[in-house]
Amino acid sequence: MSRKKTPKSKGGSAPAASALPAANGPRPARPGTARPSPDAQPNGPQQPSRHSLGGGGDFYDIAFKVMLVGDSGVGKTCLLMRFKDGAFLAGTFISTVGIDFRNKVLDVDGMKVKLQMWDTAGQERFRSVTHAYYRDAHALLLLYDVTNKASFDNIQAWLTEIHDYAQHDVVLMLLANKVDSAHEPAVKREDGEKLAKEYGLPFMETSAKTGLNVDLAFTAIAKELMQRSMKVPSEPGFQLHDYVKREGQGASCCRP
Amino acid sequence: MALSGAQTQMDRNPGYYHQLLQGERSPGLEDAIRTDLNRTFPDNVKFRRTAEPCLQKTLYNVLLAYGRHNQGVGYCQGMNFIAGYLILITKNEEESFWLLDALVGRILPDYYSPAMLGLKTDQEVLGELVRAKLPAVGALVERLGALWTLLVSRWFICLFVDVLPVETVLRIWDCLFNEGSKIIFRVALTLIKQHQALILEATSIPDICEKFKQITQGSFATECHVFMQKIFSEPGSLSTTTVTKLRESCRARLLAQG
Repeated sequence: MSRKKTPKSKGGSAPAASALPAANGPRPARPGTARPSPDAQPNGPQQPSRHSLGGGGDFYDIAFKVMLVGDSGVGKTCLLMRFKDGAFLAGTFISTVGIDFRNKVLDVDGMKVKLQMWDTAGQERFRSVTHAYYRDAHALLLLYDVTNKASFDNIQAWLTEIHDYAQHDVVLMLLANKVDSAHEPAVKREDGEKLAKEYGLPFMETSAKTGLNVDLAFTAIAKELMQRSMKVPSEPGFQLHDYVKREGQGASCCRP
Repeated sequence: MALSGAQTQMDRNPGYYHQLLQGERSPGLEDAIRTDLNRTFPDNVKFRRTAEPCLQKTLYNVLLAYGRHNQGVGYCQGMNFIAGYLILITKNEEESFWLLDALVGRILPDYYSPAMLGLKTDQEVLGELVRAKLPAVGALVERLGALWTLLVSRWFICLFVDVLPVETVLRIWDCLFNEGSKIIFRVALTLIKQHQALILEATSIPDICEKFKQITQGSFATECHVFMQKIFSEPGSLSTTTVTKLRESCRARLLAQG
């Protein structure tokens, strides 16, 4: 596996995160106009000068942090690996302990967007270890497993956790994972939709196994973050809800 | 078994392990353990669901019995990997249980209970030791705003299982049973010191995370004999008094932070 690193010589390689508490939500600077600042933005994106991701000629314009959260065993790591490598290898995953991350660069409307994806342990006691990272996240994917009712019942607790520790304007999406299951799901699609509507969250059914809506979920997040970073406040921006509704296979979207 | 006191405990409590297994049902605990059975050493044929005999059942029993025995801890992810190793080493379910008890109940200071205070404390202690002994690395971690828990939680929670090569892990565990939890700091400090130059190249949090993964791979970690010698020479003196004092101050700081 090749090592990934950004060139040290550029000012643009300033770390995206710092020990400083973030004052505001993700307000990435407009690419091309931002100057590398000596003060690292606590929660800003990585500077948009083209970064190299190693010898392969991979570059990116802008980087965002996306965190996957949800109960233990809902499929966070599998979803992430499906998105990153396009593969689902049943029975090859080990329980995530603590917190881990993976990168993927995707092309969004001609821009190279690097998603820095943080995978977290789902067991409740690890929350106190992982929530320190919520505040640096630009987006959160909150998952439950449609074959596991308890994981759905815990969504409220997760939302409280997110409310307490994440940025107030973090991009958040609710994903009902494992919809490939042959069995009657323990959680009906309507219940997921209803909950999403209640909290005004975009909602999608996904399957890391078949790949259903996996790329879409991450692409939607990337588009939303891109839009937010470039948007002039008065302009109508990218509509995450509408996009998910339009593009998703069996996906739906709910507004409060 | 003898060194850790596990043998004594097992001899003093005949039948206890089996009583635990036959005890009252504990659905939450059972579900939590079951979630991880397919996710513990999936590459090991003996841990496959289809294996005969299947070590998943053994693992389930050991973890269930332990969760009932030590209800303050129950089951914490990471214990599956430790119990799995113990089962592979001892090939004996009950001995694995008592060794797990020696580790989780006595040798490691409160790593796995719901607040994970002992774990967080020891990660802070490592941070203090790095600042004192390897100040350049300490300064870098601080400058990047990386928390130690991000860099080393697997090291502590899994006691280097799936972090370092098997032979090296087993040698470390020998010392752990023999000398106690201080050895974890020796291993961590040695890995960091040995790869200091590489770590210092890091320019971002993901970057330094990646380096901390890299430094557990390669020939240095594989050659366990030399590795074990290094852990006693490289970090320099590390007295129990120092570790105890640091644990006290770090714990107090964490409690004050809430």
